[in-house]
Amino acid sequence: MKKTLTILLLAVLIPAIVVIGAVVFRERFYAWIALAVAVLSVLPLLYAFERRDSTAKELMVLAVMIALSVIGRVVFYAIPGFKPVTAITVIVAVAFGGEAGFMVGSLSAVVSNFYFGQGPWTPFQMFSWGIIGLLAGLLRGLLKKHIAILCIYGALAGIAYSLTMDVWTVLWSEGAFVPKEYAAAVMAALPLTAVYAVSNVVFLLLLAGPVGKKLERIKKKDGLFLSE
Amino acid sequence: MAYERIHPAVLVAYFLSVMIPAVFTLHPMMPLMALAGVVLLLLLTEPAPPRVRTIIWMSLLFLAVVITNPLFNHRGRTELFFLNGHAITLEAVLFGLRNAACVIAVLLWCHCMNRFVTGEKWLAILGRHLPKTALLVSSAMRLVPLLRKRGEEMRKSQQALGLYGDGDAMRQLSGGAKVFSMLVTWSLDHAVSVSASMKARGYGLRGRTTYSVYRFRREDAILLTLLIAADALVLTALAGKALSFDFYPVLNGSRNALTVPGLMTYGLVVLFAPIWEGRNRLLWNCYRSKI
Repeated sequence: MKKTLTILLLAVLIPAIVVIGAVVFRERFYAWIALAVAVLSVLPLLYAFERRDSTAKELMVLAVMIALSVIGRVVFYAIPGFKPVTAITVIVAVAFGGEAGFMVGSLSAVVSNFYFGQGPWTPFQMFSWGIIGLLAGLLRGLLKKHIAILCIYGALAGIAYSLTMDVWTVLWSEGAFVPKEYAAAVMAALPLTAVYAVSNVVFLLLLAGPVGKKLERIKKKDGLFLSE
Repeated sequence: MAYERIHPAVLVAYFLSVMIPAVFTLHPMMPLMALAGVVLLLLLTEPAPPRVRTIIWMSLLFLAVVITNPLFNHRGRTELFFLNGHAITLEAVLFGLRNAACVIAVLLWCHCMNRFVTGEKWLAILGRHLPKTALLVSSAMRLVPLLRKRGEEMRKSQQALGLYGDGDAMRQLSGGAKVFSMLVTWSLDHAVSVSASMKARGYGLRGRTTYSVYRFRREDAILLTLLIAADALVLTALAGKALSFDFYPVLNGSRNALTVPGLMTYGLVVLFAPIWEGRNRLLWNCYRSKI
């Protein structure tokens, strides 16, 4: 029943959003669709997590990891772009799987924005960090092989995060995707992109070993995320 | 009825009804009205005047958005001057102004939204539909101050033991990583013990309901109905091309029977919050003088 309802909702909701974009907000169609894509790709994953059976232990461990990545973002607030959110998301995803990584990534965005201010950027951050976690979970076999591979993933994730947020910047201020302006935004954000990539590598080098080991230990000891 | 008593879902619906039409249309009146409304609202509700830094930052952002568009966009017929062989057109400058007004208006409305729709109100809305997500968010929000305090204690004790000096950057970084690692150990154990007490209190049993302090009252229903009616009118005006606006090649706004009602309705929606706030102020002052 619930499943058919979800399918029905998606079957009605997605065309409805496209139609509203085409008829009502046609002058800013791309920006509207970008926001809709960000929201609609996060929602089904959140609902999938809701349906899954998870124990109180698993939930509390995830809450702790979210809180830790938020504290990291608050502590390093002074250096723009230098934040451990991606690193912690990737470490959790490698230890506990893609769904856990998605939840930690996307909810870190929500919780930290209660400190920095929620805005139209929140869905895009939820989307970017969530997908970074989900992908890390899917690739965990590869990422576990060597710390160097993990660091390459971290650097790429930093670059991808920056490029995604630039798409959103251009769409938000211009309403349409202008390649020239996107290139300019990417160039302007280049130092920030570098900081993202470098900080991800630094945090992964520092934390992947000790924190990863602790997560593996608690996973075995308390039987968490065994279905993953 | 003050903001605190309005149901959070109605508040969120209100802020979305203000921001979405301003962002996703091109009619220059929409962001201007949104900007005027939010300035009024801020004048009425902001406890302290804005800091100089905030004003400078906002002006820089405004200028940056205004300048970007004419630099990259050479459409439009009215040339102002030439820069590197490219025409800077009046239309492109005006389009940049519209974008800047929109960006600033949304930033300020978001600032107000963060003030009125606090974290726990978001959780009250989400809690019914996404209970596990809401639990994660609320536990994490409680853990942030707790873990910060813990981390600070650990850092101080490490420093007192002389293990974590204020010396060079490398020692500082490795000391920080060590404290973080200890914090992870402590908080994972904390998570396990919290979850044990959650289980003992029956978390996850079937048939349990959630409690919310926010009731959907009759006033909320009235406000929401009015809001939906206003939204429907604005959206109809937009769909009926009553509020279409072209910046290129020359400024050209379309007009039909729905243009004025559409703009007026959106203006009413935008001004509703400041008017409501002003009314409450007046009432409060009247009652206070009687007491």
